[in-house]
Amino acid sequence: MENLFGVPMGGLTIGMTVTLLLFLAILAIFASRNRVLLKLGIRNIPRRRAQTVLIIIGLMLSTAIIASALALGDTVSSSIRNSALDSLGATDITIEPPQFGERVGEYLTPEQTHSVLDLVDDDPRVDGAMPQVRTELPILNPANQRASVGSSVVGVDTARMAGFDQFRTDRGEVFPISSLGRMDLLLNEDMADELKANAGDELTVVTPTGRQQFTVAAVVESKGLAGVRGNPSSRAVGVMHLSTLQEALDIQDSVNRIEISIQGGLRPSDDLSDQVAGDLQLDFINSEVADQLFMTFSDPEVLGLIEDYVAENETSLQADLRANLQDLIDQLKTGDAAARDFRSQITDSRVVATVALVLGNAGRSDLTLGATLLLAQLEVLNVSEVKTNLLEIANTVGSLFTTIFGIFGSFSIMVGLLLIFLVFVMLAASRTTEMGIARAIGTKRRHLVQSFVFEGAVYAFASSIAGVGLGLLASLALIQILARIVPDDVNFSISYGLQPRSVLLSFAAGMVITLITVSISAYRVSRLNIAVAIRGLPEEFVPNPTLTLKNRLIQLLLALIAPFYQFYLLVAKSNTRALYVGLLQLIPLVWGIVIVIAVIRLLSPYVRWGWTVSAVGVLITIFGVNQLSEAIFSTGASVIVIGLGMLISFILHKTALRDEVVSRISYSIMGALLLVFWLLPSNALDSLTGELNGNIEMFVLSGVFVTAAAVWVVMYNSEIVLWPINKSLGSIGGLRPVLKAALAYPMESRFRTGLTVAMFALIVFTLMVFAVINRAFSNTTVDNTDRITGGYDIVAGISGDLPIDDIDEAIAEAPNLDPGDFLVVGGSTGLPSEARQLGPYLGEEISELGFQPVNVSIFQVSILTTNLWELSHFDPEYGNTDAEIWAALANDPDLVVAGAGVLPSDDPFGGDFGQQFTVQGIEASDPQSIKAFDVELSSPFGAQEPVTKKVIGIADPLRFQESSLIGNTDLIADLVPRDPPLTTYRFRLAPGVDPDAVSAALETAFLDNNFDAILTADQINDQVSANQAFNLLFQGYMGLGLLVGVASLGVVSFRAVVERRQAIGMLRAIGFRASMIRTSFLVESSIIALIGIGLGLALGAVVSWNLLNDINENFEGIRFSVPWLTVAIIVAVAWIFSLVTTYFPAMQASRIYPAEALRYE
Amino acid sequence: MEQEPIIIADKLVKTYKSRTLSVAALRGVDLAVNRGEMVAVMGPSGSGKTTLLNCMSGLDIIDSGSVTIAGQALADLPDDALSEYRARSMGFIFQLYNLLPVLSALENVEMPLLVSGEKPAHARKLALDKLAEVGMADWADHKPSELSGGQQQRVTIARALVNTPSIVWADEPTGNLDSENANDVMDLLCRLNQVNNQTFVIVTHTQEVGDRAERIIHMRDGMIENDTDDGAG
Ligand SMILES: Nc1ncnc2c1ncn2[C@@H]1O[C@H](COP(=O)(O)OP(=O)(O)OP(=O)(O)O)[C@@H](O)[C@H]1O
Ligand SMILES: [Mg+2]
Repeated sequence: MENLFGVPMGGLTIGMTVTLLLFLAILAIFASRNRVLLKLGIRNIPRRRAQTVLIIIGLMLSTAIIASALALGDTVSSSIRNSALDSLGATDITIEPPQFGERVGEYLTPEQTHSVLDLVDDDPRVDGAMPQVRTELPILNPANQRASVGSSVVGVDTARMAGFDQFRTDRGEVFPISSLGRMDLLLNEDMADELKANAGDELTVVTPTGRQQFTVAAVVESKGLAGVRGNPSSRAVGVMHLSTLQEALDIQDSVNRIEISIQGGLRPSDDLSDQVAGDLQLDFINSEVADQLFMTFSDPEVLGLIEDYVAENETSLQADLRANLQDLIDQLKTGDAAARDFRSQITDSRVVATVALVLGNAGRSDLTLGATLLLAQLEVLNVSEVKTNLLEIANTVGSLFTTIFGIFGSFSIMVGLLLIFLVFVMLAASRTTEMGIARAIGTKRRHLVQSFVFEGAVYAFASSIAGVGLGLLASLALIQILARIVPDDVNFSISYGLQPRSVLLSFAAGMVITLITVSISAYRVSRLNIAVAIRGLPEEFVPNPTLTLKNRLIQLLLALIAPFYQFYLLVAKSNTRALYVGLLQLIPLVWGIVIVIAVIRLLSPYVRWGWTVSAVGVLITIFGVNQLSEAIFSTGASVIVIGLGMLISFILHKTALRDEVVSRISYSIMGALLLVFWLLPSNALDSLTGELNGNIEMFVLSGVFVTAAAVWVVMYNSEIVLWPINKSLGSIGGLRPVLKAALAYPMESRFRTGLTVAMFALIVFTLMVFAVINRAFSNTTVDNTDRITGGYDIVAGISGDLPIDDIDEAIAEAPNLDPGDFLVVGGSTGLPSEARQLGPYLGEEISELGFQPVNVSIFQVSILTTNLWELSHFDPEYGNTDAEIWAALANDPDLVVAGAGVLPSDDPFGGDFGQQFTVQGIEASDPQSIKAFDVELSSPFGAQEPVTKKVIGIADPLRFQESSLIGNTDLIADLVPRDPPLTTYRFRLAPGVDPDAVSAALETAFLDNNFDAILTADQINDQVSANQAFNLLFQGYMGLGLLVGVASLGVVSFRAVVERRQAIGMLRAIGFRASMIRTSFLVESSIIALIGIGLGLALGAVVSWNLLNDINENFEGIRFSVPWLTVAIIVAVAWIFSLVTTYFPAMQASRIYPAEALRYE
Repeated sequence: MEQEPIIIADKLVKTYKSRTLSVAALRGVDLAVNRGEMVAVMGPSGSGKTTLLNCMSGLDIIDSGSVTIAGQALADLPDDALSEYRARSMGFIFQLYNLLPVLSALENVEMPLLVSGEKPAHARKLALDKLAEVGMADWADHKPSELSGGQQQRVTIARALVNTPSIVWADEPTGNLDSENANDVMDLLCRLNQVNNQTFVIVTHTQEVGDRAERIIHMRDGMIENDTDDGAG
């Protein structure tokens, strides 16, 4: 994994480590200044072993979560990378014919091959080049009737093995390639496994020129040339002589790819790969086209436009792109079309895209179109950096994983930080006497903070190490689950991979956030109102005394010149401490913070009124609306509400109401308003604000705000919440006094109870949202199988080299098939192409974008007239039902239905998948009825003019997620030299026919076509179980967060035992049995946990309901349903863990002997 | 007045051992208290009064000797049975920490009744009655932190007496009160003693309190120095 949240991992690690070192350096300076405080802080650590262990556990969880997210990302990317490197071997670059449909005109001419080989053979950067043919042919093992379908066969030029890894047998020995006979075959391990074939066996290869017998020369490792290349259906590969395969395919001396190995071993540098590929590409561009492009661009008007654009965007353009554009301008002015520099610029996709943009903006779409058409024909051969690309994908997927887990993990991390805070509050509470004495003998508050921070730094260090360990352990377990998600037939398998860098990063990041939290906590804790805290009364903190306005102004002035003031102190008062403080404050960030604090202090009395807060909220809200950012808008709105709550509290404090009642009213109003706001459906306020953009960050924000708000409301209205518990459980005679004691305490110490409740709520909230959404998708799949399968029972792929001429006839002739078993049979195929929308749409002009990639799918009439696929939008002029629209396509090759990928997505979880063809003027959430519109479909061959098609509907996103255009088999007749072969067939079976048997019979009958059949029911099941496994993985990961909540219960309970010794003794004296004390502790923590769990479940349900409604605008038919089993498991696991943790303190409490307890202060 | 004793302590020995030194708090105490008697335990600070009270009431374990209450040897009673006995038949007023800070006065008073399985409505009524009896009816819904020391002590007394226990143990019930309040509290205790024939064992420093008891036991260095049966009579 190379990037995280878009930041390079290396930089992130260094940055974090430096930050950590900086922190430690500051600590060290303070420590050396004040050894006594250091000693005081450190000496506290070994005093209570159990407590120290508990603290370290509490502090380590955030780090553990970071470490496990990173380890998961690393594992995923290293798994993909390893399989990529394994299967590619020495191959770094491939040269292929331009891609327009895998089956159309896909061979390099012998002349092209020669010129490539001549070029690279002279290039010192190139190790070797291997011309080859790769295709898919079925292979049979007559000895055991096994067949390998959908697998690859590659013909290699055995004379050109230099630079490539030799084939190695499964025993690790090198297979001498010179001994490979003309009719010999090397099987890779996957193929050998599929066919159960060994060296020496006779196999049959089905080729377009007939069946041929081969002898297995050896079984070799599935690596390098015997490794798979982007074949999604099988990892099996057979290797033979190039000339043998060329003969079998009847293609004379043609090859369909040349693989190139460059210097630098298995992983050459990206730069070298870029250079070699770039140079090669330049040699294979069409000079005529380059001339025409040069003429188009060097037109003074066009050149002027480009120059203006570069000048205007001097600062915003990326440096390298700007340099490239400048180079292009220079070339257009002074160079010629043959210049390499010119060619290298016009093959740079970013340069080309910018020029297209410039032309489009200037309204010269005629030029854009011309240029796009030319550009499409520019490359004669397609040079691609396969290895670099695959490694990039590995990194991207790895980062995606870490990001997803990071986002959900951020909840657990936040909860972990709350726990650290709680731990310190408890720690301070247990040190009340000492702190009191220390203060009494003249220790400054600042010194208390320091000694706490020193102590905390030691905990932070130990816990960060422990946290990394725990995180890595947890990730080991999670990877077991992950391995189950990856289907076996995919090209890679999961194996644990962890970069040392990630270990360092998680340690550094964990320790930094722990240290920061520890410092903040130490500061807060030093102002703990000790007398109040020990009695467990509501107000655990004392407010700062307010300084006079004059003093606050002076403070602000001093802050503005902070470092200089310190140096003044140093000189004038010879206060040496000032030197260090002054040096520290010279750091801009520190200085800035000092000023901000002074400003906040200055304004604090007005802030307490609340209206200033609301005013700031209004500003943020307006800013959010301007920026179209839902996150900023919502934060602003929440700040307004918080200010409002403060205002209410401020006003009510002037009345005769008791403080208790005042906070209750103001906090309840504030919490309730926040809840209402955040639980509103996301588009409820659209009419007010216009449409705002929200993404995944909204989910994190809403989670934080709804739980905080709900916890406020509950904590300030606890009697109402507890009333039913009291009523129901209280009626059980023996429990009555127990409940009384159990319920009274947590509701009195609102701060710690609220914190613990919030932790549970936040984690359960995340689990619930994820579970509901996951279930909704699974359900949608299961409920709507016809929408996905189209109502077909079997779908099969065949090789484009071995097409079936007429499937109906073939079925009729096949001895083992009964045509009566089939209700519908139909074929289809897909080809990559490019398209652009023709405006205006509904009278609105659209901006010209030029041609963009799109998939073209063509279906036989039998499929178009019988499928049960649905449409999300269509033009009623062409039919009244989905079926009528599909049927309309059957009759008219100029009509198409577009895949849902052409619509701009506002699905909060949806991603952006590059520059695909998209439509303007229609959105997924629009009503079903739309107006048909025209698109132009191009042929990258350039030989034919683009053709115009009419889009009459948009297909169901549940099935057609990609950006595609769907039509009948004549759709592209004018664009391609010959009809593309159909490569996919669908079958609907008569009632009562066994799909398993028919699918097996079909595979046998069409073996010669490399026929690979799958039951659609199996596909659906696979999808559902992958969904479930992912849910499990996620729950396992979030389980770490749950651990945080549980740990905090443990901390609170252990503390409670100490604080309540006397109360427990007294209760025992008035007749509480030991078991009643124990029960009361367990009931107390159960109630805290269950309130948290309940809140999390309820809020999660509402939020996911909203989310699903949003998604439903795009994906019709997604419905909300409560995953009761998951809910039950969440409740049970969370509760049981809570009980287990509280059991030990509860036991301890019940063993307190009454007289003992009553004696001590 | 010849009566069978309700509390019999026989050769009580209690030694506190800490890591460094051991303190002999009770060094062979023999004592019998009759049903309905009001006994005051007096003596200098540290003489073992609180320890004696805790040991006789079963709140603390003794090293040797025996305590028998209402004919039942405490050593033979399992912890649960002892707890139950306390809930039904004993009331406590401690030197420190008497009330649960998180419960209101009323809830504190009804707690022993709930523990002994009284119906909540009935418990509430009895508790309110008791609070009224000690003059605290108006303060029923207040938390201890909102009450003065004397008020808290009255609530404690109400709680100690709410289940009409046969024995009430009181450790310095008037310790934190001014003399007027102390007198009121003692009046209350004496009245209850006479009306309900409950047994009272009261530890006190104050002579006035001692004077109102029927019998004063003087302690010194963990032993009974002097046992007078002729207090207030
Ligand atoms: N838990 C204990 N550990 C060690 N020594 C103890 C403990 N409890 C009491 N002591 C000692 O036992 C002796 C008797 O204490 P006790 O509390 O019974 O005295 P007291 O007569 O009630 O005094 P006061 O009038 O001050 O309440 C004292 O010397 C005391 O120091
Ligand atoms: Mg005492």
